[in-house]
Amino acid sequence: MRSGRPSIGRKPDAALDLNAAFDRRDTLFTRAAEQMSDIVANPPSGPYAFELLNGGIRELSSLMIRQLPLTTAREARLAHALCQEGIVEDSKALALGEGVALFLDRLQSAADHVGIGPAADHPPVPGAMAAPPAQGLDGVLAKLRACRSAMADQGNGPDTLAPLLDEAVAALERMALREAVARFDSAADAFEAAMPKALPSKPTERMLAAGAKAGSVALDAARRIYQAMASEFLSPRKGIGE
Amino acid sequence: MTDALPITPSLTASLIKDRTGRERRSWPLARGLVSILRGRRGDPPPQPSEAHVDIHRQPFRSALDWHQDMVAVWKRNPIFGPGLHDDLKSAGLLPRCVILTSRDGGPLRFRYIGEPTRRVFGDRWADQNIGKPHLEDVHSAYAQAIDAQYREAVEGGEPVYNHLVITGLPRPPVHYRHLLFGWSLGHRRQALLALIDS
Repeated sequence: MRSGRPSIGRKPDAALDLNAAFDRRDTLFTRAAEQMSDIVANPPSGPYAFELLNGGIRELSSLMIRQLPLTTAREARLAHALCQEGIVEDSKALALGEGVALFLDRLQSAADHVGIGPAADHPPVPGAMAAPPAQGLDGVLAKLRACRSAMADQGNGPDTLAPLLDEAVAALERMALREAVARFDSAADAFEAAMPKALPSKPTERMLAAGAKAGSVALDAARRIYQAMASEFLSPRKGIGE
Repeated sequence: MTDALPITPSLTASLIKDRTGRERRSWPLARGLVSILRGRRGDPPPQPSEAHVDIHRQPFRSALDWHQDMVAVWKRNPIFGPGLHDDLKSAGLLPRCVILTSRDGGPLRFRYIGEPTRRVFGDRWADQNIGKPHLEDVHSAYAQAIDAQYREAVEGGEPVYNHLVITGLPRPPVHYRHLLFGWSLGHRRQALLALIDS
């Protein structure tokens, strides 16, 4: 499926599109990550099992690294999980970790850009980590800021951070999806409204009276003439494909 | 690929036949006018005929300039939204489009039918099919053949470019090319845009 990611020419420093960032569809990165998890969960058997396993993971790791930087929340979550589970080797885990950090930076920049407010002006509230589930965008971003602050001072372990990130990301995903659905429906309605209107097959009495008067014919004759003309107009036209 | 499909002969096609065949001589102008004024067209009811649609995948390098314009519009609009509508209108591409959408896993339904398709199937057909699933079209075999292409565009995430030839109609073969683009919000919403070059 389309990921919302351009196929070529990625621009890591470009403004982050929140709709695209929370697109949950498959990308090359997510497919590779899930395939890697599958290989680990169901390793090959036989005399060359280790070589097959090792080769497959190295190949998929390389593919994922080539897809950096990350552009969706789903990619960031999968990258984070792979690092946590130690599935990828150290150098690649480092690259993936940097990819996650870059994605969060861009998310923060996008939030600042749309006027949510810079984190520097509103230092994270210590109690934010224990606050009830975030509902609005402000609450979600406050949690993300608290999460980032905790990551910076390394005072919290991954067990604390991961659920918090998941919660924030899931709330943003729901909001982004609701907005995307509303925009989708609005566009679909606009297209339908733009559809050219064909000649009505049943004219109003006023139209018929005007036609009968203009043509000096009876009302019934005017109706039949109109029906014949409308039928011709509404039918498929010749000349196509010839 | 080739699919057999019944296509109802167009009224225009019947007129062509009348103009060149025996029936024309037995249907003088005066009788025709009387027939119209009595509310009949004088034409025999359309009979289904066997037709075939051949779909040939085309390389993008053979796409026309304005096809490339549409590709640029598609890239600018990764999300199906009002921006797409505005872009298509300003680029003058909207009248060449057929647009279908679906919601909550339902079928793709016609939302916009542009001029090339209305010329072939008629304005009446277009009016009657807005809001209806494309697979319920009276030209059902044709719709079935096209559906696989639509699904590929929506689920594959890449444009699909085909040359189509419909033969077996009581008229010369219909040739056209279409460029298909898809958008998807999972199963919640899907959209298909077909840009037609005839």
